[in-house]
Amino acid sequence: MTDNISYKDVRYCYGDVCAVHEATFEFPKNAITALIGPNGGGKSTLVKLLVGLLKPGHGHIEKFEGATIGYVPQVTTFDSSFPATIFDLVLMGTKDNKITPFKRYSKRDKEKACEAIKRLSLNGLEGRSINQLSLGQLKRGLIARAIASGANILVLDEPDESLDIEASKNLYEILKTLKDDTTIIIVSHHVAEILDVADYALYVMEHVKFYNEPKQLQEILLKDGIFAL
Amino acid sequence: MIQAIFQYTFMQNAILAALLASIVAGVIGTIVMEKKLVSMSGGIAHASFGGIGFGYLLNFEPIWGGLFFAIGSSLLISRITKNGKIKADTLTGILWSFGMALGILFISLTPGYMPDMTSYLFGDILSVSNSSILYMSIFTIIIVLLFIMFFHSFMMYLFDEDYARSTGMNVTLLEYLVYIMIPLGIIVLIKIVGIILTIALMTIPVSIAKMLFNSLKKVVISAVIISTFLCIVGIMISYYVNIPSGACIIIFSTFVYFITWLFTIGLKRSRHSHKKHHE
Repeated sequence: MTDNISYKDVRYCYGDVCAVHEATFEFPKNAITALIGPNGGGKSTLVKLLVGLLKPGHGHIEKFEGATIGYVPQVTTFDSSFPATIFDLVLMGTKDNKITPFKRYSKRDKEKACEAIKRLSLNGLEGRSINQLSLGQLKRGLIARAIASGANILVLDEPDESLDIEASKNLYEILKTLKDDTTIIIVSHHVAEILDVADYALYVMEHVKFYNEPKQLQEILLKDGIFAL
Repeated sequence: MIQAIFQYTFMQNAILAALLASIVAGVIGTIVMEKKLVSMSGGIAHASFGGIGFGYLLNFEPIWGGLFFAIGSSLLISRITKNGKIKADTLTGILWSFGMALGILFISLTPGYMPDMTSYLFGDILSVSNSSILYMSIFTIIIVLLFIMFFHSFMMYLFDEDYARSTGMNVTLLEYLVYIMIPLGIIVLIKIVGIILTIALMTIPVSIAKMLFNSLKKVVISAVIISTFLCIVGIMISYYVNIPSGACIIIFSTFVYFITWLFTIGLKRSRHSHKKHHE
């Protein structure tokens, strides 16, 4: 059993095109790791493999004991006009994965949802429709749903996409407060901002390269002119 | 008309059928709208025409043929499009016209006089028989029971399928349930508004409800109430003006939809200006 999250020789191909080639690396526990790299490089595939949306064609992924994953998808993967309040959204996180007939949420579930709402600074907005939220609030709502599920691994797919600088900063600050007891994995295109917040970084372009020092990756990318930072 | 309801069985059946169809419109309409399966549902409704024609050809109750074709095409669309090689939209379009073509073929091959298909195409709520009420009730009970039983799982699946899958939930099972509930619902609606107009009854009441409420439970319940109102007023117009009931219901529903839309826009604007005024 590993102490972290270990990818061992993981490969995943979409038909003839392989997005992940024999990847072997670790996501350190209780830290923020940023996944960056060009579009189509395999970042989203790597996280989808971790959350179970895809199954590795080869190799396997080991998690530390008691690991529970909370997935925070991109806002574009669901319909934000869905008739639900922020409380409904977060409460969904407390539901287990069983399709139980006549399931009801317990008082404890509702308390857990309230706690998660508070942790993400969304208190006061519980009864607001999700279609009336700002993008930043909605993204925090999605994180609160993952927290309410009791997840100790948060996988965030481009949480800062379309957010203004202020909202992104706010989101990162909140994420920093969570990392004491949560392993946080963030896919992002906002290289400069995310590498400032991250403890570790992965550069993903078909193959995966792990950096203990995110600053080191930042310097390499600047030098090579791969990204405008 | 109230006197007619007490006096004639056909009027009692019409009101009962409208109520059953409204329950279906609220539940299935919400599923279809939230999963963006509106055009797929139109395809399934039209594909069922092949089964109705098949029933006429082989001399069995056409609606069972319709149900068989509807479930078949629904499962076919869900399975074949799963691997992404054929787009759901493309397959829906193919089954949509193929079902209609088969229906026309089977009916033209049926010996004797060509049957009148208008009640299947446009609905005829004033000719709902007792046996139709029986199967409509059974299908409605199945749909409602499944939806209530698994409400919270359905909510998770309808809202964010990827998240539900990431928790390890058996999303495939929910998918199968949905792809069986939709054709059952369509068969109930066909009797009221006909194949061509089913999409409208599945979408209009839910769209109106979504403009007014922000919780899934409230949207479903209010869509049922709104649909009942639209159907009953539609039947009344149809009864007095003597024009097809399906068309009456849909024209009136569309009218109410736009009125509600204008009303909610006006309400938002007045709230906005009220807020500005206070600032």
